[in-house]
Order: sequence, then structure tokens, then C-alpha cells
Amino acid sequence: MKNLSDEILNKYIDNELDQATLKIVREQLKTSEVDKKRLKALQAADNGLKNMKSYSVSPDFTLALMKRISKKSRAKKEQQIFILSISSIFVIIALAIVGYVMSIIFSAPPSTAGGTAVATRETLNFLKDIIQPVKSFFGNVNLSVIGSVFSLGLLVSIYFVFDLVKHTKNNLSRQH
Amino acid sequence: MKNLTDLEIIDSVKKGNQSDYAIIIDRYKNKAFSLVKRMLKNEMDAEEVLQDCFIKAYDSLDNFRQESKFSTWFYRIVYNTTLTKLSGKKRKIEMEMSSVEDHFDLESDYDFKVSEKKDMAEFINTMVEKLPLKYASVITMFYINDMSCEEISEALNTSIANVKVLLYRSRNALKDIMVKNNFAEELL
Repeated sequence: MKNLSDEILNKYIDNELDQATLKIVREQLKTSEVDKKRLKALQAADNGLKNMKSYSVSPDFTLALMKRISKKSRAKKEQQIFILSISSIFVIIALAIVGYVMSIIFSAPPSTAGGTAVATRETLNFLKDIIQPVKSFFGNVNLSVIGSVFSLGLLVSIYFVFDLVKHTKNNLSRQH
Repeated sequence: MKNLTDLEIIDSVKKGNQSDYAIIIDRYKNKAFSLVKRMLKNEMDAEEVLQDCFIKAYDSLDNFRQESKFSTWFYRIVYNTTLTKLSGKKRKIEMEMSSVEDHFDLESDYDFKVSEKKDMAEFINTMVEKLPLKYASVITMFYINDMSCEEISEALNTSIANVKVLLYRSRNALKDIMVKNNFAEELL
């Protein structure tokens, strides 16, 4: 009689055989001592593996890891602040330039030529009313304030750049 | 809090409760460590690699689309990160070579003096550590991490049939040693 294959025996202990095959296997196991011994050994191997040793990490593993995660999140936030400050500076500069250009345009005397001159003048007057506060905002006194804010922004940005470089250097040295 | 499911904890972490991630870490650290240690066959780097795995998973939580169980998704990260670590040590070649088609011989590696039938758990452990990388990974995932063949196939990105072949071959190798040395009686 042919012995049961290893695959069949493995499927037998995993309960993966269909009813028909299961019946044949059971019959075979009743008559074949060799297969019975092989099955017993396979079950022993399976039992041994079920009781296999599970390794454990060091006791402070979770704490150390959570510290690393929170440090990383902080660095990520700092990076976001840095990007936000740089973007803000660019937006302020862009607004200042636009404000300055607008003030120059609207300081010029309005044109009187053409049929639509009245409408244009009206529109310009309306726009002038809007621009006036902006123009006064960018006046001599405020310009120095804007300059100070800009300088402060620049200093903050430089700080974050240095901080980022320091962090990157530390990370690189830790990895090596 | 500890009775919450993985998905509930992950939702909480995503909402900003970073400290809840510690529950996930505690839940998987030892099982994942067993896998990493058996793959690396070296305890020294295993904890560091496992830390990287948890950080990688934390950073990618937004990408976890809940199509599979969190554990399967996480063990895939663990397996791939450990493989990357191994490739740095040029051991990936060894792993690639030990495909399903390859054969291994536990008997020739078996040191009879190490386990004199007294400590069977130690004997099983020694045998599993001698298995090639993919076999050891499948055995650890199946028996220690309680994963089904389907989940293992997802984690290893291979077919279920391949997983079963690896599992059966590992068991058979162990069975053959047991038959040869009459160890079976002691484990049943």
C-alpha cells in the first residue's frame, strides 16, 4: 500500500481535507503503522512549534519609542512653522510691492481724454478710496515697522534653518 | 482602553491622541520582535529595526486604508523593513536564493549535544533559527503571530500556495529529525 504524502498529512493536521479524502486517510492510518508514526511525528513537530519561544523586547522599549515618536512629531511641527514663516515673509513682501506699485499708479493725475473718462475717473476715485488706507499703511512710519517685522521674520527663519541643520546632522551621526 | 480594537486605537491616534499609539506598540512589540530577531538571526539590531518599523507604521497611518487587518499591514512593514536591513548586510542575496524551490537540510546542521532531548522547546527554537529566512518568517508568523496562511501571503506578498509549501516543508524537516531521533513521544 502506498504511503500518505507529507502534503496530505499536513492538511490532515490543519483540518483542510475534504470529507472523502479524510475518510481515506483515516482508513489508511488504521492499517499503516508507518503512516501512523509519521503523523505522530508531524503532530509532535506541530505541537512543539505551537509552544515555540516568543522573544521579548527590553522593558523600556515602549517608553523609548514613544519619546522618539514625540521628538519626531515636534521636529515636523517646527519644520511646518519654518515653512509657514518663510511663506508669510514672501506674502508680506509681495503685498508691500503690490501696495507700493498701486500707490504710485493712483498718485498720478487721472486722464481727462475720451468719452469714458467720467466713468474711469469714478472708478479710479472709488479705487483710490480703497487704496488710500493701504497707501497710508505703507507710509514712512509704517514702513519702518514693516521693516522691523521683516527683519524679525528673517531672524526667526535663520534660527529655524540652523536648528534644522543641527537636527539633520544629529540624525545622520546617529544613523552612522 | 486596552480592550479597544486596533482600528479604534488607530482612529484615536489619527485624531491627535499620540500617546494611544503606546497601546499598539505594547500589543505587537514582542510578536514582531520574535519575527525580526528570527529574520536577522541577531538580537543586536532587532530592537533598533523594530523601532524603525513602528515609526514607519506611525508615519504611514494615513495610508492604512483598512483593506486588511492592521496586524497584516504592520507585519508587512516589519518584514520589508527587516529585508531592507538585511540587504544592507548583503544577506538579501541569501534570502533571494532560498526560494521555495530550494532545499535545506536541518539534520546536517543539527548539533545533538545542544539539545539532548531534555529541553524540547530549546530544541525546536534551535531548529527554527536554522531555517532559511522565508521559512523562519512563515513559521514565526503562523505559530507566534497567530496569522492565517492568507494573512501571511498578504504580508509576504506571495501566494497562499507558496506559504503552505514553506510551512509544510518546515514542519516536515522537523518531523524527519523527530522520527530519526524518536523525539515525537516527548512532545505528544
